[in-house]
Amino acid sequence: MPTNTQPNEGGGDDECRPPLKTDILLPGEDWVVEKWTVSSGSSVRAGETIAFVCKRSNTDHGKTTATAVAVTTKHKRPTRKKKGAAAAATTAVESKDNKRTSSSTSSTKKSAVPSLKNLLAAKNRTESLAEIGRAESSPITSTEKEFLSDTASTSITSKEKQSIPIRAPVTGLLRIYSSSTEEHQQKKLSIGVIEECLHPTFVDGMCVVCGTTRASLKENESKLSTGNVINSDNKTSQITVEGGITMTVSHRESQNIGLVDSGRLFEKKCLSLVLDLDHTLVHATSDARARQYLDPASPQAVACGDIRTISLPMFEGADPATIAGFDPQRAHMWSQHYVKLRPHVKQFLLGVQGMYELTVYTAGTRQYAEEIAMVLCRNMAGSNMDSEDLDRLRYQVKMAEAEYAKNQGLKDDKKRTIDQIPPGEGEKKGHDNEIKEPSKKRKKVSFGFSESVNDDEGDGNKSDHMTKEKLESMQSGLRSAEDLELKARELRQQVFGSRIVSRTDVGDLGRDVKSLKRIFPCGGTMSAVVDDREDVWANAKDNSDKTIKGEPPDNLLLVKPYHWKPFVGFADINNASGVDLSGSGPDSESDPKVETDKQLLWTKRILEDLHERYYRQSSEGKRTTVPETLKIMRQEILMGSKMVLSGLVPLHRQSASFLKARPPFVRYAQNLGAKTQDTVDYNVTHVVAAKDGTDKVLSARRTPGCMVLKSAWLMECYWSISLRDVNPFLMHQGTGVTQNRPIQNNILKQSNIENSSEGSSNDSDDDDFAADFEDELMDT
Amino acid sequence: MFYVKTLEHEIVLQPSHFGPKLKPTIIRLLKEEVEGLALAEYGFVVNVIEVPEDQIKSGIIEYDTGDVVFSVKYTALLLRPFVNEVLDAVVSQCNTLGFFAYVGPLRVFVSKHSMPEDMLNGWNTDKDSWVSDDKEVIISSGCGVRLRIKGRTVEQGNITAIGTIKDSYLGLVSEEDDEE
Repeated sequence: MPTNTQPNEGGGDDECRPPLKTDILLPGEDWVVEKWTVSSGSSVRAGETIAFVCKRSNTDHGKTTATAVAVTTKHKRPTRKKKGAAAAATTAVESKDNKRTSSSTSSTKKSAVPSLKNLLAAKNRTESLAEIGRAESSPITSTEKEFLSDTASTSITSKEKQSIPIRAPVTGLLRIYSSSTEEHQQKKLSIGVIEECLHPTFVDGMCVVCGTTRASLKENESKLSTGNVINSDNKTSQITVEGGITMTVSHRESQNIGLVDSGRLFEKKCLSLVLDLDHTLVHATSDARARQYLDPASPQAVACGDIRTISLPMFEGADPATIAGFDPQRAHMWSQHYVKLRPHVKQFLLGVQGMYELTVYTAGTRQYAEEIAMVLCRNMAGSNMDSEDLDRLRYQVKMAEAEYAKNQGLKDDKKRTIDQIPPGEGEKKGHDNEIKEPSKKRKKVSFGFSESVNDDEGDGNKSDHMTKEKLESMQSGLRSAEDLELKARELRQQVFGSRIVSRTDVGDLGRDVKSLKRIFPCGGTMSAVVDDREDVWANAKDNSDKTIKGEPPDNLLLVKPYHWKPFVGFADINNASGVDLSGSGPDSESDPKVETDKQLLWTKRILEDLHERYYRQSSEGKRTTVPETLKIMRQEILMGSKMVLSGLVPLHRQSASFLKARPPFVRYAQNLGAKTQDTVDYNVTHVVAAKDGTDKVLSARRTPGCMVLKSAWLMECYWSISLRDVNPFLMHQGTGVTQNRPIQNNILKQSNIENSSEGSSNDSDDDDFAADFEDELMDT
Repeated sequence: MFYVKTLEHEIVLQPSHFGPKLKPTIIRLLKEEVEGLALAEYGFVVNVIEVPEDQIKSGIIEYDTGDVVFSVKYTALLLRPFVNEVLDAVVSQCNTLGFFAYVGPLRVFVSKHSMPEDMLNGWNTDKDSWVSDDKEVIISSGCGVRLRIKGRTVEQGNITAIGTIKDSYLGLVSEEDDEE
């Protein structure tokens, strides 16, 4: 049965040159395999003993053949330490096997013998293995010494009832023919085949299957003639796994992985989604000034419901074991990070969670990414505590318990020994599963003010010393907080699993490159990306051939870089944010308390739409990919409109070339389905301008049916993949004051404004500005 | 496999260490420097067993710095992986390509190709573990496995190995909860 799965292993053997095969032959027609010393699929080295054959006697003919097959195909499991149903079952299987195998070998205890012997004799490598083989066969033959002389692999000893070893003629992977195919092969005396190893994956420069090092491979390659090279296809891709270990995967293998992955996703009706963290889901800073927004006493803190803190070790690669847990004495080794969650991040994650398998791909360190993932999941679970809060709460409850016990002794002692216990804080935080009103959001013990801040509950007046009720309420608070923490942890595992890629894992992330191939070696036809920077994706060398070089893949859903107003100007932790091309900037939100950022809601809608379209199409039998679907979705938005860009494309990039990357705005417009042209004529429907007063703007105003819009409109359309309302973005003549006048009025008035003050501006002006704009913002 | 071997190491001492406690200092520094090291041809130094004090020869003063170089002989317990050796290891991390396991300081990777046939397609994303077709064997982080070393490299002062659990009696030997 298991032999049926073997052909899959090499995987898609047909597309590449098939591996070289060497048959293993029986010495004669009347010989049968007595025992295989290695199992099918294992790698063997030339000269290694792989099997023992003996002359077939009439009496045990059928039995031996059956035995040989049984030995080869069934993988015997070792006994497990843990006693349980599973272990018992395994032993049962084993004993059954053993009964069939031979009369002399008893239960699993015997099984230890080869391993032990092997261990002792390991120095002798191949020789030792041969010895083990002999040891195994000894119950039947007991003529070990006869074989010390190096027998040729196919030579036949004259003595009957003796088994002789078969040695591997070449190095490679052994495939043993199963009983069914053996019938056909019997005539040719072939009992198996050795295939050369295709080296599907390299770890630390070693093939994971046969253990050959790449260095030695290269040596061989140079020795061999070029036609005979094993690993001639250089289409390897790198996969990075947890801990920063990079594996090199051959093209064939990566395609297999891709197939398995997409099959799994398809089964779950999922797509995969790669998320960036900084400026996409959160805005984090390590600037100490950010602390003021945590202080509930400070006026700024009023609206800061979603600010979290995380503590990260100061030094990258610090051993987490030695600094586990927040130790105040080691506080200097930690740096506090302040994380502002983007508005609607909870809805976003909850919304896409069922439809997408989320992967985090960030330029931060692994610890940072893990912490942020945890913060996000706590937020999803409804907990409002950071790990630090929880630790503190645990400590407080412990102290409270101690004090309660103490107070039992000296009853009326008013002395308050623990003055920093905010009674009921935990309960409040824990029970409240809703997003709470911001006033009681965050407080820090480290501020040193006595925390009787429970103003809203009015329990600040509670007596200072421990009462039983207070203790109980604290305990229940802790319990519920712990429950939430547990839930968050489960959620974390469920939502992100081990799918976190960080700077510390990937060598090239420091150089502002993100590549889907790092996570999805097949190129990610089922994955979408949400990021605020497109340049990092565009920089990846191994993008699919479909996109023009230097342009980001179609999978990328660009989002508006998220800056929380109060954090603007504070140091970024990891990398610079993406460029906000809309020109609106964070200033458009003057009040940090009221955030109008709806990006995540847009993105959520896009992703829902994408998922729906993808699976609707595939249910109709059409095979589609995420990039294609997204492309179609974008094309629909501005379909049929003709657009002129003014002041947005630098002069030196205005000459259209199909090979070069298009300037961002042109690309946005074209991706959204609009046709771009250079001059304004009567067909033009939109003119998108960086500033008022350019020739194009002026002539557009003379053109009926043409709207003059700010660049922010185009950006918003692109960010949200929807047609945004043009009214707030209409560029009105002269003052730049935004008025919500109907378009027709606007256009009718255009005829009167030709002689306005900006009439002098000309094309070169326009282009200068654009070039500057480009250099400043987009040149990557 | 473990073995004991006498090795030599050079310790550079600043003059401030000279005094009655010179030899204990040398021994302490030796342990600090050497333990946990991966020596290319010998394997990992697990423990310095003995530093015979009479073997510490008088040092040589460096002209430029005034530091003294002591050449110290010591016996150490070494862990060296051999190809085809069978070892028990603790799984540290599972991924789509296989799993990593540690034998003390030695990292061993076991590819999915080196797993028994009934586990080849047994990757379970939800649990981050490798599951056999009959669901009896679940290899996840923290499990103990018995594996055979198939290959070994020395890279940047670290020794890593490739393993297999394909052969009979190799594979899961203890579940996650067990203390190794």
